[in-house]
Amino acid sequence: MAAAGAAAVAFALFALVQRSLYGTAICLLVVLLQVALLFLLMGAQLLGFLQVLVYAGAIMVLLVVASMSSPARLEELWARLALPRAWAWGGFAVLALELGLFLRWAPAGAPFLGVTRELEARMAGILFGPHAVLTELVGALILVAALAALPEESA
Amino acid sequence: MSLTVWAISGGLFLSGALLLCLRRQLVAMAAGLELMLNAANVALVYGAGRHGDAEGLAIAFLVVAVAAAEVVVGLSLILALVRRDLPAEGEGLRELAG
Repeated sequence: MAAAGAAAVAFALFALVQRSLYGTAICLLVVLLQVALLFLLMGAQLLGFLQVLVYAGAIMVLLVVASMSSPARLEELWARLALPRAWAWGGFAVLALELGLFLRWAPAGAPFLGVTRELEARMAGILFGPHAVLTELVGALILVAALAALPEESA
Repeated sequence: MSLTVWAISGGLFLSGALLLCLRRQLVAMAAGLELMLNAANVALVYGAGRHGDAEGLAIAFLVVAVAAAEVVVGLSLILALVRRDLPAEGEGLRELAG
């Protein structure tokens, strides 16, 4: 867990000093995947998979498209580090190594830290029980946000 | 272990805040916001697991959903700026237009 956290914080700091937006996006992708691994290590499997699907999947695609569409006209004077390709691959290699260790030594059915299957089941009971309206509102919010993203001509 | 998790969460939040405050490109600022939300989620999930609190997990779930909606709106605004040939940088935006 400490290794995953240290890699996440290190790549978050790398994201700060990247010259290009694309380098920042790649660093952010490594951080988001490390956070997903942290969730798995804590036993929150559902949130870990959601993290990969929503953050590392959907949000990263949007960020990369936006960074490709907006050329960096202004360059930070202090952010002159270009992410070497080897470092980016190194980030993903560390992640793969951690995931392999997790799958090799994870006790079957038992979490490392606290979050149990029963707790996740209670979470589902809360989301779709007393707070079902709130959960549906959040779903509607995502739909409204997607509609707002449409350009005026095609709306 | 508790100190490790708080250090990870704090480090991620600090990195996100620095990214938000120090970078001028709007896309990088949006990335900083995402980092800060992730830091909050790490702390929430750890706290929920430690105290057996399912509501903390539910809030973390809602934070993921709200962050997805927020980034869709933010990036669509950035793309709208680029389409109108306005600078996609924080310094260039000084007024709102209806």
